[in-house]
Amino acid sequence: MKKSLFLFLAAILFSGSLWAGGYQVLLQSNRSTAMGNIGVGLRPDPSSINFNPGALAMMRGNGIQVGANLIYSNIAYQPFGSDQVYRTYNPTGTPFHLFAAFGLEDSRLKFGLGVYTPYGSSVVWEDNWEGRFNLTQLSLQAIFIQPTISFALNEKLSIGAGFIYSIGGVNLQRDIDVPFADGTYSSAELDGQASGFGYNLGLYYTPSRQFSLGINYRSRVNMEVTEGTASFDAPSAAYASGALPESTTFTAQLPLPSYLTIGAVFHPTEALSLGIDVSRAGWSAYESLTFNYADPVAGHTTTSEARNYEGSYTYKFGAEYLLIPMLRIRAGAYYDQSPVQEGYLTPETPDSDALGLTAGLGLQLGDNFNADFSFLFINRMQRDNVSALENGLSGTYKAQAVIPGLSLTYIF
Amino acid sequence: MLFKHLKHSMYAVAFLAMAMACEPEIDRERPSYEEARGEADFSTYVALGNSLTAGYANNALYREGQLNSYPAIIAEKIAYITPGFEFNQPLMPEGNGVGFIGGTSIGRLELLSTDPLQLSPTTPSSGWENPVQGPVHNLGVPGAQVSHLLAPGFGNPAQGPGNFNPYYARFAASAQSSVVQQAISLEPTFFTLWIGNNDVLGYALAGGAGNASITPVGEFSTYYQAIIQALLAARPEMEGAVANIPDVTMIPYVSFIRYNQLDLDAGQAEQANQTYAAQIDPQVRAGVDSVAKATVIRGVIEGGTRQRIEAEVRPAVAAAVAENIVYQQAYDKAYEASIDLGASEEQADAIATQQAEAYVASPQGKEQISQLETALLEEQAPEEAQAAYEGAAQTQIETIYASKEIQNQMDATFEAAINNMDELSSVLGEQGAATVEAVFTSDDIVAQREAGFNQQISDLKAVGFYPVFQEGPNPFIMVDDNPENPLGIRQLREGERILLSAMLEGQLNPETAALPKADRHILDAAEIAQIKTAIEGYNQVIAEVTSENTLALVDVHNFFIQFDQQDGGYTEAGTTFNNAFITGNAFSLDGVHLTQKGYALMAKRFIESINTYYGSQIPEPNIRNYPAVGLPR
Repeated sequence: MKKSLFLFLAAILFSGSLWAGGYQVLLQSNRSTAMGNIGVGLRPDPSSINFNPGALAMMRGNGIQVGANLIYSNIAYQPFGSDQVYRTYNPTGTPFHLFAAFGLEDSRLKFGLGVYTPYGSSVVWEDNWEGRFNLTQLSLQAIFIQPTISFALNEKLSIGAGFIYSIGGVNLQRDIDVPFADGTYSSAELDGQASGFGYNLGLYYTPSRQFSLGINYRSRVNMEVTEGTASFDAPSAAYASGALPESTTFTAQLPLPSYLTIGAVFHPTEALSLGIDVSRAGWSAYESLTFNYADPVAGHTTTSEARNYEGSYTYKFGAEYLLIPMLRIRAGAYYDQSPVQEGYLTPETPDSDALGLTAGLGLQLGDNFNADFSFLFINRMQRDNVSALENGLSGTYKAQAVIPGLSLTYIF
Repeated sequence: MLFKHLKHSMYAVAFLAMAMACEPEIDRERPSYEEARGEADFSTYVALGNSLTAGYANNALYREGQLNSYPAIIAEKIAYITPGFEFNQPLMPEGNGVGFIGGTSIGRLELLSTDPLQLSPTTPSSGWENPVQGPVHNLGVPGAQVSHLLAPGFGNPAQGPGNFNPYYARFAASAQSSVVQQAISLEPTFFTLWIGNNDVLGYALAGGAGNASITPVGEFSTYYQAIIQALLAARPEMEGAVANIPDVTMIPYVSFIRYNQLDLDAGQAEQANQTYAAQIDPQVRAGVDSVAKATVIRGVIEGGTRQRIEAEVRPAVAAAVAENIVYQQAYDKAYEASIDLGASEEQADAIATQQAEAYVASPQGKEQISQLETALLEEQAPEEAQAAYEGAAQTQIETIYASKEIQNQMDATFEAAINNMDELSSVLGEQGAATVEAVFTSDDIVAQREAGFNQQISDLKAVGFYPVFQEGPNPFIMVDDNPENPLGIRQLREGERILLSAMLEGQLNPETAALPKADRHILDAAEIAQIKTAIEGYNQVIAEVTSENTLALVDVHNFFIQFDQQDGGYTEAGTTFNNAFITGNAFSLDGVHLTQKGYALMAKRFIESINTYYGSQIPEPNIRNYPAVGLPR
C-alpha cells in the first residue's frame, strides 16, 4: 500500500466556520430576536449581560431570564452540470440562554452572570452525497459563561464589562476516498473539547426618554482544542502502511471573532419603540484552519486550509408596539453579510448573504413575570461557488432556517 | 389565557410546521441545448469499442461497472444539456457479471486480502447470456479487435464456441449483424470510438509467447478506415470523438513488477547463488573439460601417427642417403685421379662411375654405408650428411602425414575416441588411453582447464547469462531461447517486463521468486519494441483518419503516459492515478481494465476533447463520485 494513496487526506479534516457567519447564533433573548436582533440600545433586561453589559446598571431591580430556541435549518446543494440536489437532514438545534442580574437597592452597581450559546451548529448531510469527502456531519457548540459587572456613572450613562470563559465541543465526520471492498467508504471522525477566554464591554447612554444609545464590543475568543481525538475507519492496509493511525490526538485553534455593535432606539410615543443596530464581526482573524496531529495522518502531522474570511457587517432593524398593557408585538429584519469570500464556500459553511425576518410578542404576566415569543426566518441567498480550494466543491448552495423561541423573565 | 384564541394558535402552529418543512430549492439557469451543443448534435449518441467501452473491470463485465462505463458517464452529462436524451446499455443481470479465464466463465475478481495479496474469482451472474431487449447505445464488446467491429455474425452463437463473441451475442440485433451496422441502424448523430487495444494487448498479456500475435499496422489501417468510412457513408452528418491507443506496456499487468524487483536478503542471495552455482558450475566445467579432453585426444592421435610414420620412414631414408653419400665420395675420388692421369672429362666420368658402383657393392663399401646409416640415425654423422638426411626425412614424413589417407585415418580415430570417451583404450589402445589420461591430468593441462573454467564463468556472468544475486533488489531470471546462450537462462535487463501473471501464479513467492520465469511471463526488449512500434503505427493511422474526417481526437496515449508510477503519477481532484496494481486508483483488480474512477477520468477526457473540438458545453463529471478499488477491512 502506498502512502500517496491517502495523501488527499491532507487538506481539511474539519472546519469551524459555522461558529459564526453561517449560523452564528444570534439568539440570546427572544425579545431581541423578535426585533430583528437589535439589542445594544434596548432598555435593559437580564439579556443585556450579552447584548450590552453597559446597560445592565440601568436595569430596575433584579432579574432572571431563561430561554431557548429551536433551529430548523436546511441546506441544499447542487453540483454544477448536474441535476442532482443533495440536502442536509440536520437535527434540531437548541441554543439556550440564562441570565441573572442583581444589585443592591439604590446601588449604582449591578452584577450579572450569563450562560449562553452564541455559536453552534449541527449539520448532517444526506448519505452518499457528493461532498462526503469534505463533510458528512458536523456538530459544534460554544457555551459562554460570563460574570459581569455594570456601573451607572450617572442617570444617563452607564458602563459594563464581563469576563468570558467559553467551553465547547466539536465533532466532525467525513468520508475518505478509499472504498472498502463492500463499497462503503473509509471515514474520519474528529472529536474534541475546546475552551477559551474573552471579554465583553458595553456603554449605554440615554440622553432623553425618547432616545437610547449603546455600544458593545465582545472580544475575539480563541477556542483551543488541546486534546481532540481523531479516529479513522480505514482498510487494514492503510493502517499497516502507516498512512493512517487508527486513532490519534490533535490540537487546533478556532477563532470566534470579535463583535462590535452600535445601536440606537427611539421611542416616538410611549407605546412604540424603533431600533437599529449595526454590527461588525471581525472575521478577518480567520485566515486558515490548522490542525496538528500527534501521529502522522496521510504523512502529515499538520494540515492547513485557507479560509481567508473577511470582516462582515450586519444591519438590523426592529420595532415594538405596546398593543394592550399586557401585550407587546414585535417585528424586525436584518441583513447579514457573509464573511466567506468567493471560492471559499465549504459544506461546513454554505454561507451567503442572508435576510432574516423576525416577529414575536411579549406577554406581561403580572408585575414580575413576562414571556417573550419569537419567530425567525432566515433566507440565505442562493450562491454559486467555484471552489478555490483543492478538492473543494463547486456547485450551488441554498440554505434556509426557521427558528421559534421563548424566553421567560422574572424581575424582583 | 395563553390559549384563549385556540383557533389562531392552531393556525400559527400550522404555519410553523409548514415553514419548518419547507426545503430550500435551487433555481439555476442552464444553457439552452442550441447554446450548449456547439457544432455537434448529441441527440443520439452511440459508443463503439471493446471492453474499455463496455465498462469491463475486475476481469468481468458486471452491472455496477457498466453503470459507470465512460460512455454512460458521457451520456449522463450529455443528458444534462440535451432534452429528451436517451442512452441504453446492455446491462448484465445483478451480481458478479461474467468474465473468462481460459475458457472458464467466472464473475468479477474480489480482493480478499492485500497482505498477502489474495484475489478470488466469484460466481458469474446467472442468466448473463440472456439476450438484452430494446435498442442498445453502448456497443462496446469485450475482446473486440478492430476487424471484429465489421464482422457480420460476430455475435452469432451458431458459429460454435470460440467462433463468436458471447458478449455481443447478448445484444446483437440479428445473427448476421455487425457492430458497425448495428450502430448505423440507431441513426446516431454522434459517436465515440475507442478500438484497437486488443490488436496488441493479447500479445502483451501472453508475454509474446504461443500463438499470440500483433495485428500488422497495414491490416489495422485497412479495417480502421473501413469502420470510419462505413459510419460516415451511412451518416454523413454525424460527428464523433475517437480515442487512440495507450501504451499497453504501461498497464499494471505489464508494468507493475519492475524487472529488478527480486528483493533478497543476504541469506536468500547467498542461497540463490549457491543453487545456481550448483546447477551451472558443473555444466560449465564439464563443457570446458570435454573440450580440453578432445584437444588432448587429438594431440595424442596426431603424435602417435607421426611417430608411426617416422619409424617407417627414417631407416629407409638413412639407408638411401648413406649409399648416396658413399657412392658420391667414391665417384669424386676416382674422377679426380683420372683427370690427374690425363683423362678427358668424359673418360673420367665413365671410369669414376664404374669404380663407384663397384665400391658400393664391395664389402668394404657396404660396411662404410652401414656405418654412415647408423651414424645418421643416431644423429652422429658429419654435419653436412646429417643435414641432408634430416631434410629428406622431414620432407617425406610431412608428405605422408599430410596425405589424405593419414588425415582421414586420424579423423576417424578421433571421432571414434570422442564417441567412446569412457573407453578410450578400445580406440587408442591401452597406451594411448593412458597417454591421454596422463596428459589430461598433467599439471599444465589441469591449470589450463581451471583457467578456462574461470574465464567461461566470468564471461557468462558479464553478459548476464549466469545470474549473480546480491542483498537488495536483483533482476529476475528468465528462460532464454537465444541459441547463443549456453545456459538457456538469463537475468532480465532494464526495461524488460515481468508480467503480473507470474505473481498471480505464485511464481514470485519467496521460495519461487529467484527461479527462472517462463517466456509467457516475460516481455523482453524485442517484444516490447514490437508492441510499441505497432501502437505507434496504429496511432498514426488513427490521427490521420481522425483529421481527414474532421473528428475530435482523444489523445489517451499521451494521457496514459502520465500514469507512470516512477514519475509520481497523475493527480486530479485529490486522487493520484498511477499504474500501481490495486492501489494506483486507475486500474482495477485485473491490472488491465480501469476502475470506475479511471473510467470517469476517461469520460472527462472525452468530454474535454469534444467540448474543445465542437465548442460544446457538456459538463464534466466529478471523478470523486466514482470509486477505485475497494480494500478489505
